[in-house]
Amino acid sequence: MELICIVCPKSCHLTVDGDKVSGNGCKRGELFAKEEAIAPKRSVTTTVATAFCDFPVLPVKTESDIPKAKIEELMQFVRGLYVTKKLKCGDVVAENILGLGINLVATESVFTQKQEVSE
Amino acid sequence: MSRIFDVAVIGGGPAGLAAAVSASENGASVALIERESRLGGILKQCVHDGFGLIRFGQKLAGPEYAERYIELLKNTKTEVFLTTFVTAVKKADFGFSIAIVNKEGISHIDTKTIVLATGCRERTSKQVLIQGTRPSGVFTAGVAQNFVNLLGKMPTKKCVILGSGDIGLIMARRLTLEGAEVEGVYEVKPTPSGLTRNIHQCLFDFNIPLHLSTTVTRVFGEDRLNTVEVAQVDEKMKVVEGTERIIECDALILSVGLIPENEIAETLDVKINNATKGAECDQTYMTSVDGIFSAGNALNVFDLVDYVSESAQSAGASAADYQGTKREYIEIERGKGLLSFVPTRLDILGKLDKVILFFRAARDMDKAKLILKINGEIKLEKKFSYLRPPEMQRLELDLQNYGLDGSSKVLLTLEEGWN
Repeated sequence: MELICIVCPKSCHLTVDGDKVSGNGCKRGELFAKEEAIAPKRSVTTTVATAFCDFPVLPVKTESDIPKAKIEELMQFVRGLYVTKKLKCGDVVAENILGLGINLVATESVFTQKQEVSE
Repeated sequence: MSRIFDVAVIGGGPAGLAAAVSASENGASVALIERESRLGGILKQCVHDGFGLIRFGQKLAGPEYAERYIELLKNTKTEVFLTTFVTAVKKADFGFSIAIVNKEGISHIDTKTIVLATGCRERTSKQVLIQGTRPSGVFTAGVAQNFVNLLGKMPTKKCVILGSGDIGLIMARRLTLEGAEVEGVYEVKPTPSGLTRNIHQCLFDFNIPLHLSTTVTRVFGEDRLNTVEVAQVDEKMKVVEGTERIIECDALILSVGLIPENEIAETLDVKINNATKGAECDQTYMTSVDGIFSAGNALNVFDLVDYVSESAQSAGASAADYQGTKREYIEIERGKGLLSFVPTRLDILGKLDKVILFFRAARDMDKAKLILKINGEIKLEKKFSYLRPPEMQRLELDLQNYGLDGSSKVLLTLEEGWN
């Protein structure tokens, strides 16, 4: 099986043969290849609608990778979310999404960043 | 007497943030000037992850990466000017006087040195010559990204993407996730412009076709774009007759390249490099004008923000250390096989033991070898299993023991084939 590693921008060309991985530049590439061959996972980044007109959307990400096959379902779920609290970077937006045991977290503290000249 | 800063950084994106933090940490008084109402630059709208693997050893989303630097900046005494536009920069006996406009009116910031961290701009439809009407619905990928990720508005239901630059690939995935149909990505060149991993994780993961050696030839639509025509091109980039195809869609998204933003640099007569389209610079990131430094995408369009930060960190430190000491330059000649590199020149009176070289290959190369020649003699060779133009390389060079002087000829070349 031929794969392109997506762990880092080097984009190594990987070959998976049984449980043997070649072409990887680092250990993370080997782990990626083994997982990708059996059950591919991806991190998902997107935005969630908010109640605040200055920042109509809040950037979020899955705290860790989720099964690739679940991405569509996750997006459906995210479309139903609506943030009414002034969350900070790292705050949980939704717990245990799709029962995967993974949280959706904010990736920006837009509401608390200072916005004007400090004197 | 009005205050004179040691360093003024123009631009509050990743390069400006890193330059300001680094200049402050090196003891300089720093002014950071940003035209938008908050810091972070383009990272604010880059909600995807993959940033910071080198700098922080972690996969961060764009805003997270920016926030790390904003936090670092808060620990310094940098004076931040938000919603502030630079209208002109003039030389003065103490350094430079920067004319600014903000809500307090027109004023100026006086400084001994400047770091230009103005980033880059996207090529627009005017620069790629597409025939047809002029309907709305033609966006650059960055504008589409701004709509979706900052304003929460979808600019399209079904689109065609022209160009396979990284932002275009990222937007193909982003728009698909948000429910739009991306009919395909069209690239006029025979090879993709973006990183290989992005071709895979943004296009192939979502079954978005990539059409190489194919371009958009015409757009149709009165008020709003409703159709585009695509066609294949030959090796000379001429349209192959009979290959035209019509696609109904409501938007054409362009990801056709980035150009360093050097409007301010040009008014100061900073020399621009033909290959990078950014300023000529030495190993301390100083441009051809004494006291003016350049970093990040304004200097050279990097593909990793980590390298943007690294270049800006050096530029900030150099600006903080700047004493106006005498420099003597030799240009680095760009030989065969290289698309571009920085630094483009060396100050032979300055430090030469840790010169960070960033370079791109001119074409896809397997078993490539970077060769550094001084006065015709090979001094250094570095092997690479493969090189691709979209993937910038970074090398640390020790050039202090080569006896460089003002008459030395330094040549960099890339050759293919080694065993």
